[in-house]
Amino acid sequence: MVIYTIKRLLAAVPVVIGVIAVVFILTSIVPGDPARIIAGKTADPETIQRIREELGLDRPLWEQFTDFFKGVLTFDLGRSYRNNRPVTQVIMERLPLTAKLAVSSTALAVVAGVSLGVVSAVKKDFMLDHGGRVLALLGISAPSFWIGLMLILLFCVKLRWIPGTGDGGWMYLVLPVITLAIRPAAFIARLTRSGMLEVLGQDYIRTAWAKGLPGRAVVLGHALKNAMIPVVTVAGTCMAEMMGGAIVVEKLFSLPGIGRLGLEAILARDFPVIRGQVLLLALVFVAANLLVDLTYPLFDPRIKYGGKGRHE
Amino acid sequence: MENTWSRFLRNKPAMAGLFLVAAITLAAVFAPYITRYHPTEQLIWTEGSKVQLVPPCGRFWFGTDIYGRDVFSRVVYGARTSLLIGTASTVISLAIGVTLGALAGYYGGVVDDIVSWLANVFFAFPFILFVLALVAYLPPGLPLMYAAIGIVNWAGVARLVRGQVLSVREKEYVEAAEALGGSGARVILRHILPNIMAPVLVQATLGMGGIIMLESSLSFLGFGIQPPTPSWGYEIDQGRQYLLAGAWWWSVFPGMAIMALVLGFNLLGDGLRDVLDPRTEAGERRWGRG
Repeated sequence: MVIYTIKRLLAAVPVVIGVIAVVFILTSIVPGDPARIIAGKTADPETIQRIREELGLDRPLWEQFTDFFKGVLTFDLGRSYRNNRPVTQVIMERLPLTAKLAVSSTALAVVAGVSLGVVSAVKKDFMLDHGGRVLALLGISAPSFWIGLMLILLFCVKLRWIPGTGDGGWMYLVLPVITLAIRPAAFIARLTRSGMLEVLGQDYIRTAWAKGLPGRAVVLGHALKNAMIPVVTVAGTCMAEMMGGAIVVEKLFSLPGIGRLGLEAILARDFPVIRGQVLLLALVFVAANLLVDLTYPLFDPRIKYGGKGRHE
Repeated sequence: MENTWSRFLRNKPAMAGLFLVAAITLAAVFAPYITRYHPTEQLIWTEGSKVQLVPPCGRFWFGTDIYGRDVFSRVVYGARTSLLIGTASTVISLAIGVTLGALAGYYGGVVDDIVSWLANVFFAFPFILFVLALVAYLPPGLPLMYAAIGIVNWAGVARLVRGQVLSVREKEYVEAAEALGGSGARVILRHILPNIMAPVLVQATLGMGGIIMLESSLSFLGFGIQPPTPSWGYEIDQGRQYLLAGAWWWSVFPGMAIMALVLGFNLLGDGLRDVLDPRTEAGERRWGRG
């Protein structure tokens, strides 16, 4: 397990390098001259050239990559084109709100999804199962921003339980968290149900029943553990989906998070902020994926990692 | 094969899904014949004023928008955008993802390392933000952008397939196939892939729905198909500004259209899984009796 953990940690290093490389390539294929964008349409050639030199755009590509790499390692992602503030600072101001949203939504999605999936599998073909499946299907099928809109109509306009949209405390986060969590929860519920049904048909489950183990021990102790691998994978990707999905939800609920920042940066073509944000979120998810990988042996020790052969 | 087909026909959810997908596809194809107005036509009353925000009625089934356009026509034509992008992107991501995932899971070693590295790199990027960043960086051109969605989306499929292959490669029937001298490609194609198709099908179905929803999200944010070409997400975004004024139909019907299409693909995928993966169904039956 220790060797496996070290291997996975080391394996994350090339991924980080790959992520930085992809972001750099993305930056390098910008059509047009970033210096011209900064200088404005009326700038003279000398000013544009001076900005090019300041940004290092006149140097060879590999040198630019090396500088960029060093900048990432020292959290220096350049300055925003819009207000000349450090990109790291701009992002860190907006990150806590989105992180709060994503973590809360992931927790809600996992708890709700796994519960719904297990109940649905155990009560197969009963009303609970049918109801759970319909809920999960609708949850997967409805666009989150549309669900959010309907929630605003119901809870803000009709019932007046929630004050409204904007950033004004935890009450304002209830609907965004639910909106973000619904789709992943429905997806997790389907995966859990499907995995559970497959596992429940296995011989060792029949053996567990034959031994006279109580239903809870068989379902939660034996079956759920073995049905969790795809669920764990999806739960890990939930965060990524939510950080991305936050753009839509933050626009809908007028929340000043990192998604909204990205949208503003894209509209203003503020490339350093876009680049910094994509990079930062990607690196966060390298860590999240690493955690997912590290949990696999807990659920299925038979799986050999590293691909050195099945009989090692 | 006949047995599979008859079982598929008997599967009610699958048939419901097929009906939804087929109905919406046919509506999209024959849109000019089933809509009364062109989706971009700004209708005008006989006295000269625009037909603005008319609630659903016999003449305008889904009402009209602020510009006097027929919402039903825009919803029907909007299906073309969603279907085209969903299909193209899903095919691209499946072709790449299944191939690379199966190779990585079966061969392991360097192949697995490279594929996993690539998948992890792509997988790390927040999907919608990555696509939006591409929109900001790349020259305008929707075909390029939506091809990019498919290419970027392969990592999720590959990761799933790799995981599934890892879990079945320990099974006796794979060892037996190898012991009988089956080549790697043959073992993967004949023995492994058929046994992991259920989750891949589910993934493809959800992937299709996911991409359709991604397109609607992009349109909702103002980065999808450019107006006045109809797109469901754009309609919802435009309509939400008039939702509180009582014009609910402008955003509700496009949202229902997205839900119906994605639901159709989900039901269809589930039905196909039930038919093509009898092992799971047998397991379900055993549990059902237990």
